[in-house]
Amino acid sequence: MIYNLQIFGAYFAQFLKTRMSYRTDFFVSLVANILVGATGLLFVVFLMDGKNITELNGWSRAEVLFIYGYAMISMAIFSSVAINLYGFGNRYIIQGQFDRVLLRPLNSLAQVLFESFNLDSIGSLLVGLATMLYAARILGISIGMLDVGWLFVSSISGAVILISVFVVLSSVSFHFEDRIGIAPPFYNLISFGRYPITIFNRVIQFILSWVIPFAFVAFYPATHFFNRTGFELLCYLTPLVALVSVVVAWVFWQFGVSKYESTGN
Amino acid sequence: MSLISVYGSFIRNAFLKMLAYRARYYTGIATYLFFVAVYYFIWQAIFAGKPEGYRISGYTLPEMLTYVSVGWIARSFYFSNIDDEMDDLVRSGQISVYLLRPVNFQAMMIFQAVGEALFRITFFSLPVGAVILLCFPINPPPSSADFLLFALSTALGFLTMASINFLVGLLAFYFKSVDGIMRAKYNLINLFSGLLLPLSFLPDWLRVAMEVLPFKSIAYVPLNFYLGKVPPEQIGSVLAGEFAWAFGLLAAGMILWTRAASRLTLQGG
Amino acid sequence: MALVEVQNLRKSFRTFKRSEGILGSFKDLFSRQYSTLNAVDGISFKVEEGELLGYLGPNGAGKSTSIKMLTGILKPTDGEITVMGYHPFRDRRAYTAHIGVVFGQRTQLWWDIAVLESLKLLAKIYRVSDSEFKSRLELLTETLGLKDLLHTPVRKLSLGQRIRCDLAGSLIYGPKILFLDEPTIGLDAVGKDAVRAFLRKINRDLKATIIMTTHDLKEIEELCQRILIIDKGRIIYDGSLERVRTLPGLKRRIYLDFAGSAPESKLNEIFGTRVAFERESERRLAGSYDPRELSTPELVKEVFANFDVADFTVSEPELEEVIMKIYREGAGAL
Repeated sequence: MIYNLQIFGAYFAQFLKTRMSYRTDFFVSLVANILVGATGLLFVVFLMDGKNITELNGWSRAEVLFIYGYAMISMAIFSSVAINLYGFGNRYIIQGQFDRVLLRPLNSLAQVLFESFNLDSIGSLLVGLATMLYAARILGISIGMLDVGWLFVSSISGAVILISVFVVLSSVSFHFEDRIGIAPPFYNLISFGRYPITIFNRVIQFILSWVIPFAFVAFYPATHFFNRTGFELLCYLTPLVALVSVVVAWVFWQFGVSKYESTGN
Repeated sequence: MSLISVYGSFIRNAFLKMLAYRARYYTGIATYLFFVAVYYFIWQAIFAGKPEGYRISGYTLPEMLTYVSVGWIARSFYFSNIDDEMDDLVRSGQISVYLLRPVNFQAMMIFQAVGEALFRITFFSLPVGAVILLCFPINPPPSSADFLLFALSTALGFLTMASINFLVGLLAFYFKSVDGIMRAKYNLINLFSGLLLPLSFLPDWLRVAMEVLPFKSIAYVPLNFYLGKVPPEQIGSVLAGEFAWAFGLLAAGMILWTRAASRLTLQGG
Repeated sequence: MALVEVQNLRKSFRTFKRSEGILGSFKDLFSRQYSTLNAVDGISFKVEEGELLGYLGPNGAGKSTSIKMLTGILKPTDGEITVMGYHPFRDRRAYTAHIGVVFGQRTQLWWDIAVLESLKLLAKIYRVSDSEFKSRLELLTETLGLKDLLHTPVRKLSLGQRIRCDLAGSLIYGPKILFLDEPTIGLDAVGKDAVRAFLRKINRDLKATIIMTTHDLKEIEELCQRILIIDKGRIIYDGSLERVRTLPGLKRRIYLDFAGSAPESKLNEIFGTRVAFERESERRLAGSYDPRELSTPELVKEVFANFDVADFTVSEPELEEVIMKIYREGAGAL
């Protein structure tokens, strides 16, 4: 474990060194990332202007914003490592870089995830946090130490769920050689996880809870802070769902690796 | 070989390239369905409890649902990857090969995008549209003239989008990574083109700005043509505006391309 | 026990046939025709500690696929590999700590960081102690001539420099066995010489076991005691370099120098189709013959009996010719 952390630290240090040598680039990306976070948020703000439209099927504007901000936090953590999954099919399979990964005495998935990072996502993490705090004030939510602990555990769990889903999708690249792979379209699917799940119909609710568990990324854990009943069990199931997702992802990944053909050049 | 057949072959290659990726083809169709689903339910929830015929910022629920579905179907046509591909060409150094060819690079990229768009309209937009039509309610346009205006306006939207993508692609010459910029562009355009919500929902100061800027050509204007919401006396000026922006951006791309390309030769490839 | 044991190793890939034209591509969206390709088709061999094995074969013969199975990258479809008691694919993480791998076409160092940083990172990954790292780095810097390269980012190195750094990277943790896939591909003569000298040195002095694929026959001649030739996924030759030259069916060459003008037509009359003569100069002829049809002593005896010969030499077949023949005719040549 200590060994793994040391290696992780070394990878991160190397990454920082290269990243910092392109400083303007970093700031441009950071601004771009804040814009990405802000535009998503603006959609909700414009949609529910607070005058004509004050609620979304029973969810108040502040609640919707709170969930949205919550989702942004998990997603920012996710996207800080997911950058490698995004281009996995092209970079690792088609260009054959996965050979190098397999030649190291380290876990292959951990190497892919931690080979580079997307630090820009700190931008949307801050936007998300600010949104959440703003909404909490309107809702009159007081946040104690335990709540902070839950926010920490659940947002990490949320990120883990997202990573797991995309590991499963990326491992499809082992079977079908395709420059793009099937994962990118699904990045857009994350949108479902940013809204109160009850606005969707039953089939979608079921899928978001038990097939592609994006509802656990923000919605269920966020209900911890609301004065509502009906979600207590699902809310605290979040860490367990994350754990199960990891196991499923690992099985898919291992199966994919066994089918790796290393034809790239 | 005549000029037409040169650019024709770009269109053909784009077709073949699109067909080569089978997994993406199927997941692509599914993605559009997901998108429409998300916004369909959001709009349902927004209108929940409101009486029939209730208008928000000028749209009734059936209009809004049609707006969303048709908007995403049209997007499957006008969407293009020009910026991403230019980034790839610059990263891999292949761009220098294109500089040696006796063809206009910008025209080549845009014709490739035309090829992809023609591919999409036949093999993608039609199935996407059919699937969406099965799952969600879409109202037909009030008249066939409205549909023609929508088609013409979407074509101009395509050109506007392609020109913007070309301009963003030029940034690949200046930055080590343009992934962040491309993602920001993607999100900004989805919002400010009116794809996610009609521009009439924006606060006044922003709406005025967006009325002037070119992004509305991509979704908001064509969709309002589809819904028959553009007053007849404004049709001419709206189309003229779209036209001016599309070709203005195209010209800007042409001028800036020469500057960006000269950077490449200065660096020695 | 041998260091490497390979038993009936097989790897098959599924490939699909792309149809032509737009209509064909469209058809491919819905149905595809697949076929199975046996890239490696049941090979068995052993490698002892300290051997330097040359792995040869035409393009697409299955060399790279075998190396990738031996290094744990690919999972064998069938058969067994044991290297130092490990199963490469199954025990990948434990196994790769003990092997060094260099693929000539692709670097395994970190592209954007300086060579020394890459080596340090590798030392951390492979848990090399500081003192070990220091002494190995010194040795490698010396023998590979890396002194001026250590602070350069990998992406700025020339191909020859990069290969040398890759070699250092694969040896910095003291592996017991080294796998090289075309390590000198694309290098100039000087670069090739440097790599060869280095490999010879670590094989002789450090007793490193090396398995390498290459297309460069000079390299094989200089380095390998034993070669393994693979074609269409099967091993068609496994033995010493010396023995391969005595393959039946290989033509020998005899050079004849005459006191006067060379009597080409008369020689053709005597030997007919058994020897094909070519004129090299006014007085010199070269003839090639199959020793199975006509033994060398017989040929020489007959020439001396009929002509006034000033001098003659008989040459062994060139390795290149041998390999070409094997590549051309496959296992049938042996």
